Amino acid sequence: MNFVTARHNPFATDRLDTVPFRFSLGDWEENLQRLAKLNYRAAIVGQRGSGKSTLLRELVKQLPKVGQPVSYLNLPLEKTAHGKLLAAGLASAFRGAVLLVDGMERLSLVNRFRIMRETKYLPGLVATQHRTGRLPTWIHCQTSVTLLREILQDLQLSQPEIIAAGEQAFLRARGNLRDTLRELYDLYARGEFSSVTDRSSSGCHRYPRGESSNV
Amino acid sequence: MITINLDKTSNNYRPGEVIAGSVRWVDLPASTLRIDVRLIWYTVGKGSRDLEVVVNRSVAKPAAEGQQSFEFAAPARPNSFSGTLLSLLWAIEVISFPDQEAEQLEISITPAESEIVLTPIKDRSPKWSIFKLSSNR
Amino acid sequence: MNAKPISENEPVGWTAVIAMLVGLLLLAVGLVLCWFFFVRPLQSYCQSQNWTETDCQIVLSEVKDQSDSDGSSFQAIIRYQYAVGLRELTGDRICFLKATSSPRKSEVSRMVADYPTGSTARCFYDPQRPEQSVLERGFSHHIWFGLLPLILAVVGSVIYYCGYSAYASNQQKQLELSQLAQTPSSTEQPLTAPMNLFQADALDLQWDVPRKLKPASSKWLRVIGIGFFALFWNGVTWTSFFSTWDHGFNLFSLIITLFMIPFMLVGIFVVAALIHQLLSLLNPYVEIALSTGTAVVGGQFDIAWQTSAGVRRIRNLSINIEGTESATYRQGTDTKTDTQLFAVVPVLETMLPEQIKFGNAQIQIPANTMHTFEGAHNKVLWHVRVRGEIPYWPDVDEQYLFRVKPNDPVRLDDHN
Repeated sequence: MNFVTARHNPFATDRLDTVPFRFSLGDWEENLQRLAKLNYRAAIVGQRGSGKSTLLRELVKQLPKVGQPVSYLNLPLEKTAHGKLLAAGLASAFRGAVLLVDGMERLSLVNRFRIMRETKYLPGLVATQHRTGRLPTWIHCQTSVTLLREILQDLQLSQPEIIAAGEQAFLRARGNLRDTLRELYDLYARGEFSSVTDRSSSGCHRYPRGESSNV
Repeated sequence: MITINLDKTSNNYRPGEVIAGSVRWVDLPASTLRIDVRLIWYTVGKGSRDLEVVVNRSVAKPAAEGQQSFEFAAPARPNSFSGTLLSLLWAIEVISFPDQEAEQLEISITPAESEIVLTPIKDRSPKWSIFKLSSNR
Repeated sequence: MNAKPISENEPVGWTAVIAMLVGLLLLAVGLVLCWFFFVRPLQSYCQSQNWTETDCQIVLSEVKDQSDSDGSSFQAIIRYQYAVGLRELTGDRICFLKATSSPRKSEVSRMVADYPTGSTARCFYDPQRPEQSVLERGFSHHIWFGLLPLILAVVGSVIYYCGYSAYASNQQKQLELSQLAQTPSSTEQPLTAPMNLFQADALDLQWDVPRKLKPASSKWLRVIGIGFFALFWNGVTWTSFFSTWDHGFNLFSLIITLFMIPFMLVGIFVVAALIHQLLSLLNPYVEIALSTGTAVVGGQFDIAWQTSAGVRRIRNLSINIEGTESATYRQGTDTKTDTQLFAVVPVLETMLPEQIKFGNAQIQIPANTMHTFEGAHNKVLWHVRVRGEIPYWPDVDEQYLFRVKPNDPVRLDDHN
């Protein structure tokens, strides 16, 4: 049976983590300036699988470079721990860090109100959310077939059969890039891209401390 | 810059075998507080990542240039393996703090000569088994 | 850089504690409601069978409209006077086992019409406490509605049980972890480290005894789960459907009905699933026992099976040892788990009733395969899969989990 193991699958989560976020307008410098103008109090808005979390995780690395410490809060789906995590995040923010919240909508209304109120006079709050809300929008993440092609190029997977399969998966996933890449993972694992899967894939897998999926 | 060297030529170890080697570093910033040498396993694949730092040893206040040998006993489990959904990999990882400059060297820990490969098998059970009624054949 | 993810801290069993509290609350509410709507009326009904019968005068008989913003409700108010010796007493209890209020005016009006104001009727009073009286002391099937709160109590019990199981298992894990999984993290030691004892080793030891395996999922829990969902879903959809047609045919009710059709189809589907599950409860039960609950990679072990009554109903029985890898990931606000089969070791494939009834076999786990691995998101699991074909009936399909541990490298060296 033709198959590709997980470690050699270019759509594995650790490989996708290496794909950088692409701004539709401007570069990091310009967008960081825009964020500074918003007093580091803004939202990253976009549909599911559009790259909000990827952008936020890159912001974790970029903000300290401009002298702005950050506290990153990746909210789990289970709401039970939210209170504790929020308290820890706010404690860091009180020490001068910009609070970065992945998944603002997972918070209860009370906790959302609390975070908005308590960060009002702190260095900042940048959160990902599906719709525009009380925070001004910093970046509106949007997906497109062109973006999918660029990501595939980054992964050195520009072969026509992969692009064609990717475009079909993209349509089925209604623009959700994360689901598209997961479908491509399955196709690749089943050895359906025969012209590509023959090439050797070796080398050390970088282990990003503590983070998971890309988009 | 950090480099990791193993005493053995191959990167395959059996459970219980000693993983011996050395870590060498040059041009380390003066602000470096410590260097951690870790034996870790982590998963790669479709799912969210699982990882565990099995052993963590530190070199406090390292000089700008230096070398340190290490010796770890290869744990009995989990074995290195690869399936279509997930692979489990072992590695020696060295990180300098607070800069977090890191270097990893992948190794394999299995009782066999190389990592275990799990070949996928097609599951022939019906998808809608909840409503399946066998016919009287 | 102060950018370490802080979301990796897991809560310590709070979900389980909350589930236990919610379960207890639902259980208490269910039992209290059941007491007031079933036990007490039934008690009064039984006692009233010995009460004294007498004439009474109906002094008030009317339907009270209790409509408000929440909807319409009507209550039958009947007041009657009766004499006990020289005492003139007034009562207003119509019956013990029937509701005297209803959202339908016609039902209440019928009740009132039987007792017009000024008429005489027969009532019953307690000779010990003559002020306790009732107009009707017959049995009514309405009393069974008083058992409905028991559903709440059963749901509460299930939630409490699940919460307790999760809490107990969490406590056990914490204990095992504190005793066994010592991960050294000190800083000033020489760079050498011994082999660690993992939590999985402790579980292997615990399972390494002759063991009767339990099915991975309980049929009863499935029936209860699907049953409650079916009850809730169909209760809401069909009640809404009938209430829209209460006032006869009009365009509004037609639009609502068209809107409701997909929901009602889902309800029918769930009921079909429930019937299927209920039928499967009557399936022959296959018991599986292993000579050890922890097999070794490349090692041999014995497996035995025994089928309960109804062996001849099974046309074909197959037993396999299966290994699966599974990966769990987030999908939007949900988590999804994908599984992939990687090993199948056939144990039995037979149509002979004597072999289906019981038997045993010696099995070997393949040498170059993966042992049981249970990460937070990724797993490699081994189970015994039992499939039995029953003509025109839900099939037997059960999985029984067991453990596989890595081969001892010393033993492997000896072998080589």
